[in-house]
Order: sequence, then C-alpha cells, then structure tokens
Amino acid sequence: MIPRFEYIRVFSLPEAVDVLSRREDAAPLAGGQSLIPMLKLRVASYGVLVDIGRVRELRYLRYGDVVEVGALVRHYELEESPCGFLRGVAVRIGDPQVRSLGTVGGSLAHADPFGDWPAAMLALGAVVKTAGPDGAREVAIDDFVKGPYQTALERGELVAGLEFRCPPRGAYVKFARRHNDFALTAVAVAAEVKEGHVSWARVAALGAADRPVRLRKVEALLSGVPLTADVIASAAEAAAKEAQPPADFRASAEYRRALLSVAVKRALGRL
Amino acid sequence: MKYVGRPIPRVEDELILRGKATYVDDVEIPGMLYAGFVRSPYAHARVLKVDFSDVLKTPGVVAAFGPGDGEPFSFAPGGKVRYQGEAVAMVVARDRYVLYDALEKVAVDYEPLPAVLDINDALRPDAPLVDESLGNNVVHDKVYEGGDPDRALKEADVVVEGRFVIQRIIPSAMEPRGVVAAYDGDVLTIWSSTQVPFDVRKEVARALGLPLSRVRAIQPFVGGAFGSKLLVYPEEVWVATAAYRLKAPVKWVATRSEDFKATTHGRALTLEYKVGASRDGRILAVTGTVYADAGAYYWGEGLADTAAQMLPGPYDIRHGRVRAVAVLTNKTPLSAYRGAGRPEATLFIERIMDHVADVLGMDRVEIRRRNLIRQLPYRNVFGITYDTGDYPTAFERGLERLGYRDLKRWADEEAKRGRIIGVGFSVYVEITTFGYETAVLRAERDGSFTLYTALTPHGQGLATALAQVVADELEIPMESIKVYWGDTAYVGDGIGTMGSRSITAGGSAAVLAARRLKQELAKAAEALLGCRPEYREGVFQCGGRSVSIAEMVKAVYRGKAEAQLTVEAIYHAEPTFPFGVHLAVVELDPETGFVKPLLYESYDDVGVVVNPLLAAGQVMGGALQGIAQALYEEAIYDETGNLVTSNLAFYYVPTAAEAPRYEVYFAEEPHPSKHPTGTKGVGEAATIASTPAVIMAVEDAMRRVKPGVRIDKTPITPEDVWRLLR
Ligand SMILES: Cc1cc2nc3c(=O)[nH]c(=O)nc-3n(C[C@H](O)[C@H](O)[C@H](O)COP(=O)(O)OP(=O)(O)OC[C@H]3O[C@@H](n4cnc5c(N)ncnc54)[C@H](O)[C@@H]3O)c2cc1C
Repeated sequence: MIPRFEYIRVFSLPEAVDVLSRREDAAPLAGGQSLIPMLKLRVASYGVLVDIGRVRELRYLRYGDVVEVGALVRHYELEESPCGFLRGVAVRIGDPQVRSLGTVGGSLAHADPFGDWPAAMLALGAVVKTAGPDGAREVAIDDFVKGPYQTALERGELVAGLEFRCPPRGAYVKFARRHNDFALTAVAVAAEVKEGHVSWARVAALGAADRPVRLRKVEALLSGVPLTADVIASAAEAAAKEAQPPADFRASAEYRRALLSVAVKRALGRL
Repeated sequence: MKYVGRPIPRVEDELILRGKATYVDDVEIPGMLYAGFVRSPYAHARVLKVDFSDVLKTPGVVAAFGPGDGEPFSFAPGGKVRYQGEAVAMVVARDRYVLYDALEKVAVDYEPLPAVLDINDALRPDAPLVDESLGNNVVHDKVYEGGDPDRALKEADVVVEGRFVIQRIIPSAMEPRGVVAAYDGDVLTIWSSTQVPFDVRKEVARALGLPLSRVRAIQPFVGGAFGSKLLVYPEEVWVATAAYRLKAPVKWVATRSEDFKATTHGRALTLEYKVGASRDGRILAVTGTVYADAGAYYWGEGLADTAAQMLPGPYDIRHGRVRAVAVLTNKTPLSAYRGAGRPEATLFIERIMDHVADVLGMDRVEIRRRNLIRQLPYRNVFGITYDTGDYPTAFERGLERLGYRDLKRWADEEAKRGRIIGVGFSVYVEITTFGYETAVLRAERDGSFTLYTALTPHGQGLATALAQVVADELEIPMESIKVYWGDTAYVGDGIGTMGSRSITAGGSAAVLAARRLKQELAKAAEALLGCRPEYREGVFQCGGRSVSIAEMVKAVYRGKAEAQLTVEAIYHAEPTFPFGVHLAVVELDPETGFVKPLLYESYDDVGVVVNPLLAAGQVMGGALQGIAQALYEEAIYDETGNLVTSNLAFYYVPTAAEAPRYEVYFAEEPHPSKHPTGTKGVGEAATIASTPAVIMAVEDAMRRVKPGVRIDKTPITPEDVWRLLR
C-alpha cells in the first residue's frame, strides 16, 4: 500500500530544481517504474513526488556525431534507434508496459545494480549531464554510479541527459531467468575494429560486482589485437577472473562468474 | 443441435474483458471501513505484548483487535507465531492510507525463537517444536499397504532406491485474497475471494452463533485460486466479526507480498523410494515414504496421503507400502495447489519408471508399455478403483498422435547441427471428483431458465459449460439459460470448484435438475393437454395439440396447472479417473544451463469433452503451471525463515513469453465416466502431466551433453543444470 504523498507537476527544469531543492522530502517522479514499486513495498516514502514528465528540457533525442539522450527518453523510444547498440539494450528491458513508461534518466538515477542502462552507458563511456540548484554539471559515467542505488547526484539535482558516441560496433548480452527479467548478469561491449584489429573496446558488466563495472583486464586484452577465437576465449576467461560477482537467491557467485564468461564470449562473437 | 462437444467461446468473457466483472475489491458500500493485519516478521516467536495505545489515538483508526480479544480472534494461539506473515493483530480504519500507517504503529514485543525450516531438521529429536503440544514435529503419519512388498522386494531382480524433492510453490493467483463484510443489524453478508462460500458462511455463522439463514456469503468474480482459496481463512471470520461488532461494512484486500505469506503454499513433498523390478522391466513392488513440509499449521490434510495412494499411477504394481508423513515447519501452511497430491504422485512414479529403465538399460516407452494396467476397472494396491479406460491403446495412440518418435529423430538431426533438443513424455492417471453438488433450476414465464449452481467458478468458464449441458438436456438454445453462481442466497449448500470436479459433480446436478424440471412440466402439460405429451425442443405435444414451456409456466402461475417451477438436485459424485499421455520438447543451452520449452503436446482421455475450447484452455494453463514447477517457481526462505521470494519480481511465475507452443488433443474414442455428464474432469490433468514430461525432456537434453545425469528435484534451475553438466 503506497504511503500518502503530495503530488506536484512541474513544467520546466528550473521549477523542478526549485521544488526539489526546497523540499527535503521530495523526489522526482519520471516513469515511476522503480519508484512506484518501492512505494508499494513501503521501502521508500516521500512527502512530495515531483512529476517531471512534462519538463520539455528533459525530453530530447538527437543523433549526430554524438548521441544526445534526454533524461525523459523512454526505453521504447530506443527500441528502433539508428544506433544498433541502443536497440540491443532497449529491447531487453522489462515488458512493453515498462518500456513505454520507464525512462533512461530514471534508470541512471535509480542505479539499480541490476539495471541495464547504467552498465550499457558505462560501456559507451557516456557523459551524464545534470541540472541542480548550483547549475549544470557533466559527470563521466565512470564516476556517476557510486554503489547500489547510489549516484553522484547532489540534493535537488536531476539527471538532465546523457551524451555519447554510438560505437562502431557494440553488443549487449543479458541472461535473465524469465524473458527480460532483471539480469543475473549482462555484458555490454562497445568497440571499434579497424583492419581486423580492435582499436579500442569498452567492456562493462552488471552482476559482476555490487554495481556495474568495467572489465578492464578484458579491455586491455582486446586492445590492438584481431578478434580471433583464441582472443575471445582468453577474454572470456579473463572476465571470469576479474569479476567479483555477488551471490543471492537468484544465482551463486560461481554461476554468475560462469555466465559472465559466456556473455563476454557471445558479445565479442557478435561484434 | 447439440452443444456438448462444441468449442463455444465463454459467455463470461464479455464482462471480464471489458473490466465490468465485480471482484471483491470492486465491492463498494457507503461508510466502508478498511481492515489490515499486523503480521509477524519472525518465523517463530513468542508474542509477549501487543500494544495499541498509540494506534487507537490516531485519527481515523476505528478499532483494533489483538490476542487478548477472545474468540474468534485467535491471534498468536498459544502465545506464539509460527511463521513469517502470521497475523498478530487487526486494525480497522476509515481509509487505507491511515490504516497502513497505523499498522506500523502497533507495538508488538516478540521474543524470537529458533525456527525450523527444513523437514530433515524438523525430524531431529532436538528440533525446535512448531507445536509444543505434539511433542515432536510429526503431525500426521499413516501407512498405506497392499500385497506383500517385503517378499516382492526380496524376489526382485533389481532394487532401485532414490529420493525426489518437490519444492514449495506459491499459488500466485492474480487476484490476492480479500473480504468485504457488512452487517445491517439483520443479515451479515460476506463477499470473499474464495472457492468455498458455503464453508465461509458455515464458519462465520458458527463463530458468531448466528443461524445460517442470517448469514449470506457471496463469491464475486475471483481472479484465480488454484486451490489456495479452498479453506476458510481466519481473515474471513475476523473481518466478518469486525463488521458484525462495528455494524459497519469492513474491507480487507491483501497486498501481493502479504498474500504470498498469508495464503497457503503448495507441493513441497519429498519421496524416499525403494522399488523392486524384474529383469524384464516389470515393477514388482513400490515402497517408500512421502514427507510433506506441512508448514506451521496442518491445514493441508491428505496431500501426502493422496500422493501415497496414487503413487502406483497407471501401472499394474501388486505390492506396495507407502508411508505418508506430514512434518510441521515454521513456514506458511501448506494446502492444495492445482492437483493436490496427484502431480506429486505422477512426478514420483514417472521418475521411478525412468530410474528403473536406466538401471535395466531399457527404453522409457518400453518400460511403461510393460507395466501399464491392461483391464479396467482396476483396484490399485492401495485400494483405489480406477473406473474406465483403455490405457495400453490410449498410450500407443497418444505417442503416435504426439509424434514422439519423429520428434526424437528430429532432435537427433538437430544435435548434428549442434542444437540440443530434449524430448520427454509422461503418462498419468488421476483421481477427480468427490462429494455432493447442488443445482437449482427455475423455469421463467418467458420460457427462459435460470440455473443456480453451487459450483464456484473462478476462471474455468463453467457458466458456459453448464449452459451447454442444460441446453442439451432441455433441447433449447443456450441463450435461454442464464447461470448464476457464488451466492448462498441462491443455493443452500454445496462444495465448490476444486479437484477437477465441477462439470462432473455440478454439471451432473444441473442435468438432473433439468431432467426433473422437464418431468414436472410434463405432468402439468398432461393435465392441460389431456393426453400424455412428448417433449421436443421446448414444446410439449400430444393429440395434435401443443404447449410451449413459456405457456406452461404461465398456466402454472394462473392456477390452470400444477408443477414445481423450481427444482433442486443434489448429486453425489463418486471419483472418476482421467488418463493421458503428454509430451514436452525443450532446448538446452549447455554453456549456461538455460532451458527453453519449445513445444507442449497433450493427448487425454477425460471422458466426454463438453467444450473443447474450455478444455484446451485448462490444458494450456495447467501445463504452464507444471512447466513452472519444473523450471521456474520456488518459494525460497532464508535461514531465519524470511520469505525471500516475497513478490512477483523475485518469484518466477512464467509469462506468455516463456510459454511453449501447444498442441492439444483428446482421445478419439473417450471412455466416459458413469456420471450423467460422462465427464471425468480436465482442470488439473495438464498440471499433473506436464512436470514429469518436462523433467524427462530436460534430462534427455542434458544426456546429450553428459550421459547418465539424473534430475532428482524440482525445480531444475539453469544453475542446477549448469552444475549437473560440469
Ligand atoms: C516489471 C518491471 C520490469 C523491469 N525490468 C527491468 C529490466 O529488465 N531492466 C532494467 O534495467 N529495468 C527494469 N525495470 C525498471 C525500469 O527500467 C525503470 O523504468 C527504471 O529503472 C527507472 O526509470 P523510471 O523513469 O521509471 O524512474 P522512476 O521510477 O520514476 O524513478 C526511479 C528513481 O529515480 C529518480 N529519478 C527519476 N528520474 C530522475 C531524473 N531525471 N533525475 C534524478 N532522479 C530521477 C526517482 O526519484 C526515483 O528515485 C523494470 C521495472 C518493472 C516494473
């Protein structure tokens, strides 16, 4: 049963920031696909929910040299993105209902350790643009997620959007118990391959630690070499070694480690 | 034009699909109060004190009831709570926001006690006691025996021993339980999301010392139950009592996580077995013990017993001894879940057949062929008599129809391309139908008919099926019959929808009511027409004259003829026994252990099929529940007795995306039961047959990677598969 709350709808970014920084017990409401379930379970309660759904400044999606994704872009809007990597992530999130309400900004801000966008953005090396009482900031994705459900956002600050380049090659491999459930593990790879050699690769995983992490040893191993079966096999092995997966009722650490290895192998195989 | 046998779409769908059906939470009464429960966070604890002083000061809180409030408020009996989620107090408030905040303000002092969560631990002599009055945790222990199992085991060429563990399942009806009760100073009315309104009425009347005639229980539309709503729960009595005492309408609807803990769980049986077989594959004796992880209260009587008595399945096994033991643990009480003992029996015996086949190096089809019962009726070794059927023929035709051999060959071909497919099948006989059921049929002035049934449909489409059988009996259009259910004001007593009994018990009652009503009207028609009339398609005729039912009814009201226009039939139904062969095809990802169900096929002899569309629906839904048992669902508790899988995000109910393709067949020459409808029941058939078929399919696939692996538990999760394959 959802605890009683006050509801405020805001129409501009300054208004949103204003309410959120004035009211200690306020939280932004985007798609509600994480916030509402938390309220229902009474693991969260707020005096005010500030509905940011109509804030124009947060609702943009531009494909140029860089891809600019506003915080309010909904998962489904990326299902048919010209950037193939984004398509691969978006279609693996939840069900159509969740995808048509849930937002990319909400996913980042929520920082569920098993959420798909934080790991995917880590592979993309995205920049998180924020807006707050002290103005706008740009935070590198590597510094944004601080822990499970913890981010670099300050009080009253919002995720305004994300910026990144669409990788020349990319793949997202996710293992979940049911179709599009939250992942047991997932691996996101963004890379460039030139003349048969990997010029750079960013490999991020979820379910490999208590938060999304980059698999740096795997990245290092791939850099400058051709993507042969042997390279892929040693990358998969390195992933298993590097990961410190959590154990819970869904999967043991050992099993997650094995899945990560397979996910790395399959993701690289798809590049 | 007969209706029975035709795939008629459900007459109920219009209301349901348009969102117009009234579920218990849709019942709104002016002045409604809302009830909620304070539930134990501990699996086992002494309740030292429940303090309402803060709560009762809260504006909007109307009343609170706790352990000190006497009968029927049986909170924390014996001063203890025995499972996480057991109620310790109830609060009634003016709105739900106030209520749920208030629940958090009830101060309860608990003294946590060590919890016992596993049956093996519970059976140890030094185990904590769930119920001190028993002296140990064994709440039920009974032996079923027939023939001379000891001698048969001694004479057997091979003796095979093993253990199979079936997990706890959370029934997860989409609609959680809920109750509304209202007392106007004259009649106490209870709306409940239940399968048993008649029992609710009896229990509430008893608890409050009211005559049955002043208590009315209504079953509104119910969003699923699967056996988890066939007991009268304490909340039903408590909410009714609150409404009675406060003289105000009171509503309680469980939240999802509350429902997961406060509504009974299912399955959770373990079999330890020892069977003897001859070298040529005949099973000579089956012995063993079925343990039920009964949970905190022994509400699920007979589950281990049904599994024990049905353990021989469709096989001719002449010697047996099976003990049925129920063990208390600090978990939600166990009770019926779609199949209630028969899915477990079938899974056990099918796994045993495979185990023996492996030991003998025999084909899995062949071992079954050699053991199937040849002649019906047949009295099994524990005294249960299977009524009708031809198992060997249905088995061979079934496998042929389902394409078992072809699918095995296809799997071999795919294996050459590196794709790992497993094919499995199962054979079952099950027991359905018991007890009495009531139908009241009334002829209306315009020639239409109103049927009141004591059945309690909650998704089965029985209003459609009942209209079909009555329409055939009366030779009138189905549209002339309106079926009402779920109200003790309509019918005095009955049992309800459960145990695949509805169309057989309640449908037969309806047929008998129609037959009797026809006789009544015929008597009156004879008086009117002056000759003995013939009845055809709603018209009585003789001597060149005729009278329609509408005219008849009007004549009776005008005093021109005499007849009962309302007829009640109470039908007593003996058990009957469906039989079938089901098949599952799965694909295995050997690197990850993930298994995907691709195809599910069924071939059932369930007697007369009243409505193939409804029957196929039962097969598909039932199969998915059995697939869920095989691959997905499991109630997981941590070591303190906290239910970890306490909501639908953590508890893996499969969705349409997990469902395989279905092919549903019914026997070309079915063996009807001896009941007026000739039906045997189909509500649980596929839940019973699917788990063993899927488990065999998964094992078949796994053996392509690692010969000889054996599955000895459900569910088999991807991680389990991965471990077994390493
Ligand atoms: C059935 C179901 C299945 C799901 N499956 C998946 C899945 O497979 N993978 C997956 O990744 N996710 C899944 N989700 C979660 C979903 O993706 C959520 O949409 C997402 O996590 C949060 O986005 P939202 O817009 O709904 O945020 P909300 O729920 O509205 O907010 C979430 C949190 O972020 C804050 N917030 C929201 N927007 C901003 C912002 N712009 N700036 C700062 N703070 C903000 C809110 O205050 C709140 O604390 C699932 C959800 C459901 C209900």
